[in-house]
Amino acid sequence: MATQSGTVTKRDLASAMLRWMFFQTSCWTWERMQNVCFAWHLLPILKRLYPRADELRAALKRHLVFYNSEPTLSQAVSGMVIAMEEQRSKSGDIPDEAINAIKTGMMGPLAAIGDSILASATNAVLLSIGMGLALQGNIAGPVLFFVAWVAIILALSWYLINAGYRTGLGMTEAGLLAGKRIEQLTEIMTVLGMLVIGALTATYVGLSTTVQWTVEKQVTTLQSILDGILPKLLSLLLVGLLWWLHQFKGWSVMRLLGVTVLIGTIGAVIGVF
Amino acid sequence: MLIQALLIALFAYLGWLATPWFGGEPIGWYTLGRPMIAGTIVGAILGDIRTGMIVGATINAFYIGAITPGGAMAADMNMAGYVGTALAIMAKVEPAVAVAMAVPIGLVGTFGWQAFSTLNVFWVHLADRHADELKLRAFTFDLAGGPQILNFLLRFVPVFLVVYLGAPIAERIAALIPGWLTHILTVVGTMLPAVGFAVLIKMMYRNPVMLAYLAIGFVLVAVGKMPMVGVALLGLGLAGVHSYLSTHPVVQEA
Repeated sequence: MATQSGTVTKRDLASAMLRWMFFQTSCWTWERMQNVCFAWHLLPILKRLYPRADELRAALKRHLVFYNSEPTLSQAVSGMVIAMEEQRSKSGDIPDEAINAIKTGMMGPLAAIGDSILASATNAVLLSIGMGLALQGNIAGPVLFFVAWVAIILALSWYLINAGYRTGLGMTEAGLLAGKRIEQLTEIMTVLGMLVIGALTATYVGLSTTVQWTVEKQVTTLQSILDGILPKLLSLLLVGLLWWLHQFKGWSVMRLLGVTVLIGTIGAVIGVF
Repeated sequence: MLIQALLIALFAYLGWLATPWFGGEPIGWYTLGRPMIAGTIVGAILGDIRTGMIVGATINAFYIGAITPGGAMAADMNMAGYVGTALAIMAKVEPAVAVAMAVPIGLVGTFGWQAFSTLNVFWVHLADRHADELKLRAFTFDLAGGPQILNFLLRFVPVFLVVYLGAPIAERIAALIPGWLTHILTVVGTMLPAVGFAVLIKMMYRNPVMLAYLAIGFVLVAVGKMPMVGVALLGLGLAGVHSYLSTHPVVQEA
C-alpha cells in the first residue's frame, strides 16, 4: 500500500503541462473530446505512482472518460488531479468517483471562463493592437502579438498547474480528501458534475429531425412540435437511452457507439435527421 | 512555385487546430493560425513580407473575436489566412476578394474537421485497448501518430493544391465531396457526445436524485439559454444546499 516511491516534482508538473498543451486536440473526437490526451499527459506520473500493472491500468482507464475544457485553464484541473492521484497512490483512500467528480465539475465552468476571457477577449485585444501596427506595414505588429500571446499562455499554464497541485495538496493536508470528508466533497462535485453534463447535453448534442408534412398547403415540421414540448428533446432522449442501455442493460461503449453511428447514418440517408 | 506552395501548406498544417507540433491549440492555432501571422509568413515565403502582413491583417479583421468553443469549428480562418494571402499576392487581387475566394475552399476545412473528429473514434477505442493491455508505445501512437496522418492530409493537401493549382481548380475539387457524406458526418458528429455523456453519467450515478440535477442543468441551457458560468454558480449553490440537507445533523461538530 504505502509506497513512498511517488512524489511529484516540478519537473513532472512541467512535463504534464507541456504534454497537455501540445497534444490535447491531437486525437480530439466528438465522442469523448480530449480524453486520450488527458490520460496520456499524466502517463509518466501515473507510471511512477503506480508500479503495479493493475493499478496503472485502472488509472489510465479512470482518465479515459469524456473530458473537455479550455486548454489553458484546464491546467488547474491537471494540477488538482495529479495531487489527488499522488495521495491515492500513497493511502489509497481517494475513490474513483471523487477524482471523476472533481474533473467533471470543473471542466465546464473553466471552459466557459477560458473561452470567453482568454481565447476570445484577450486574444482579440492583442490581435487588434498587432493589426493596427501591421496595417501600417510595421513588422512589430505580428511580432509583438506572437511574443505577448506565447508569454501569457506559458506563464498562465505554469501558474495554473502549480496552483491546482497546491490546492489539491492543501485539501489533502486539511483532511478534505479522506474518509467522510471526501464522501461529502464527492457528493458536492457530483451534483455540480451532473448539472454540467445536463448543460453540456443541451450544448453539444445537436440531434434534430427534418421530418415535415403538408396538410392543406400548411407545412408542419416535426421539430417545431418537439421544440414546443421541450427544446433539444431528442438530444436528451438520446443521452437518456444510451445511459439506460449502458447502466442497466450492460451495453459496452463499443456497442453504444455502433448503435449511435448506425442510427445517425440511417437517419441521415433516409432524411429523418 | 512548388517549394513555396509546399512551405505554405506546411505552415498551414502547423497552425491548424488539431496539430500538436507547434505548441498545440494554445499556441499554434492561436498564433500561426491567425490570418495576421499567416499573412506575414506567406509574405516571407513569397518574398514580400510587407504586402503579406497587410493583407493578412486585413483578412484578420473579418475574423476578429472568432473563437473555437468546445471544438465547434467556427470560421476556417487558418485557410482564409494562408490561401487568401497567397492568392492576394500571386493573383494581385484585393484582400476582400481573396477572402471571398478562400471562404468556399474553407468549407473543405469544415468538412475536414467533421471527418477528423468523427473518424478519430477509431483511435480512441484503440487507445482504450492499448491502455488496457498496457502497450504504452502503441497508446502514445494512438494519440500523437495515427490521428495526425489523417490530420496532415486534411489540412496540408487542400492548402497545397489551392496555392499550387490556383483557386478555380481547387474549387472544383471541393465540389467533388458529396453533400450526403458531409451530412452523415455532421449528423453522426452531433450525436457522438451523447455516448461520452452516457458513460460519464453511469460513472457518477449514485441514486436517482442525481438525475434531477442532470435535468436542471439541461433545462437551464436548453430552455433558459443560461451561460455555463451561471450554470456552474447555480450548481455550487445547489451542491451547498444538497450537502447541508444530507449532512445537517453532523455538520455542527465540523
